[in-house]
Amino acid sequence: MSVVIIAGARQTYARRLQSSLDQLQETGEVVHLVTYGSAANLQLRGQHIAIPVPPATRLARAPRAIRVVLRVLNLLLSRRATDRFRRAVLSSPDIDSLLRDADLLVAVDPPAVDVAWHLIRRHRDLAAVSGTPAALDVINRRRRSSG
Amino acid sequence: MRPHLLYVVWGYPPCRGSGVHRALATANTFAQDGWRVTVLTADRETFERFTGSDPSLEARIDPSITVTRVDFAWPAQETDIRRFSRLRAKAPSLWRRLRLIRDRIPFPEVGYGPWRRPLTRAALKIHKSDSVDLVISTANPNVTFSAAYALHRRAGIPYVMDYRDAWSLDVFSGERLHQLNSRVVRLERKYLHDATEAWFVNEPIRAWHVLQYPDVAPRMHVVANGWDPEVFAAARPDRGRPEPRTRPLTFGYLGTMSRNVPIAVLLAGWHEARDHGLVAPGSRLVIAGYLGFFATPRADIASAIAGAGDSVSYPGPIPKTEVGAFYDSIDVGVLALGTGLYVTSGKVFEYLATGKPVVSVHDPENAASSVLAGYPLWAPAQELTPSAVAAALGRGAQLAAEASEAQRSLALQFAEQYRRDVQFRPRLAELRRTVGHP
Repeated sequence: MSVVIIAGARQTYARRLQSSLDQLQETGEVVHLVTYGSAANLQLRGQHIAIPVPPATRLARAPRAIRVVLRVLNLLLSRRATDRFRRAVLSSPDIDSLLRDADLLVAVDPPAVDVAWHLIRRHRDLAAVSGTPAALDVINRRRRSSG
Repeated sequence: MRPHLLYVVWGYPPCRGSGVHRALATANTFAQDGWRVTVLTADRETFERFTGSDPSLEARIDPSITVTRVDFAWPAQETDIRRFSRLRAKAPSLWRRLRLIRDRIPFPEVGYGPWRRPLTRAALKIHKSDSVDLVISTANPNVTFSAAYALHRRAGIPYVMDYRDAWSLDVFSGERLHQLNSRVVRLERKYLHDATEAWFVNEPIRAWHVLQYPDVAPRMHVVANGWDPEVFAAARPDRGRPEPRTRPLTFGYLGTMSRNVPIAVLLAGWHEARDHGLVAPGSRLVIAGYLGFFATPRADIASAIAGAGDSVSYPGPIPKTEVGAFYDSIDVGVLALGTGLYVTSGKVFEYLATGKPVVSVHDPENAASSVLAGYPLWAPAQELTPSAVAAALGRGAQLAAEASEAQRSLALQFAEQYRRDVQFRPRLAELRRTVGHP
């Protein structure tokens, strides 16, 4: 069984992500990872595809007062980041090929859920769940049903 | 014609939740008393997908019982992204907020509110096809009370409100959950006012409700969870009194481990007891049961047990059919419970039924203490600290080794008052009179 984890938050918490990876890799399944931006020092046995984050705009290097306003508008900005991540994932032939061979897609944060929601419309047979516990449940159920 | 009981419950086999045993026993007790029983409950898929299921429990449903299942949607627990709406995928926070509002429109209970209409429809349909004489609704979820009240309003059917927990009271903190002028309290007052009886699992919870609704006090009764004689058929009474044991001993905990259960304190106390020689070398602690309330086990509790060393083992959940064998295999029961003046749990009665020493790992103020008070083989921790737990484990080991024949006989006799059928007997007689079938 091939499992793909997708993490869409720009500042994905490395420890939490590693914990998800550990739990899923402990099952013995092949686990691949798609992240927005690089995620250093991850112990991963499968493939890791990192969608590059575009360099910070001038707006993001603005004075503090402006950045505070930007933070208030975080919803809008994170929406834009998610859109960018989604477009990059959907147009990546590498990810498409990875998902064609995958059995399970695991979204570990809200932006990843958004992207996964689009991906499963392309990959009709791919199971997709939100969260590591749900992924473990799917893996265990499939093992039980296959005897 | 035998009286017809409609029993409304959310968690019924194959649900493996902790409240399911009371539900199963209640319906079975009425069926065995000669009632025609229809159980109205949630669909099987709910339990298989969300709470986890124990198929062995279905075999324990009395064959005369008719089970009617009503579809139950639980979007908040849904993890399959294929079942997510566009709004949920794109704006999860907004979706969650709208969901909370939407859930509470039909009935003020998050997650369960939307079940009110299909449940009430199903109850009315059952009554139309086969006249119902009595409704018992068991909560939580409290939405089950709405079906009983609807039948009462439309057809004058008497009903019993069976509180396995409490609606307005936080049984752990002892604080009121809803304001006096809230919709919940208004509904509870209305439902209790018209109820034939209201049942509570222990006296502290009943006493709290008596204070809140004094006009209903005469109709409020304690029906403790009790223990099921058939579960312990193998362990007692034919097997006789447990033999004194010296070393090494097996300590056992069996129950659902939620975040309220002090597993960390128990493990710390266990190690201290071993280090200080309070339990004999080679003794083991077996911790069994579900890790959390949902289908997916809680990783934090699993790793705490896994990291506790070789003297602690976790065999996983125990099917109800093997519970008697589990208790038979241990020498001392370890009752770990969440802290709360109103917390009894159903497990305390099973521990009592074994007639073996019981080590209490919970706040001494818990309602479970009032159940255990007087049990001759009880070793309570004086406070919820590793040292106090270690001392209690040591006392438990001492009781297992040194309790006299008389103490062991008294322990078995003590447990008789908490047999499930003994708990139900007075209520069955009274309700038969209520429906005109004495």
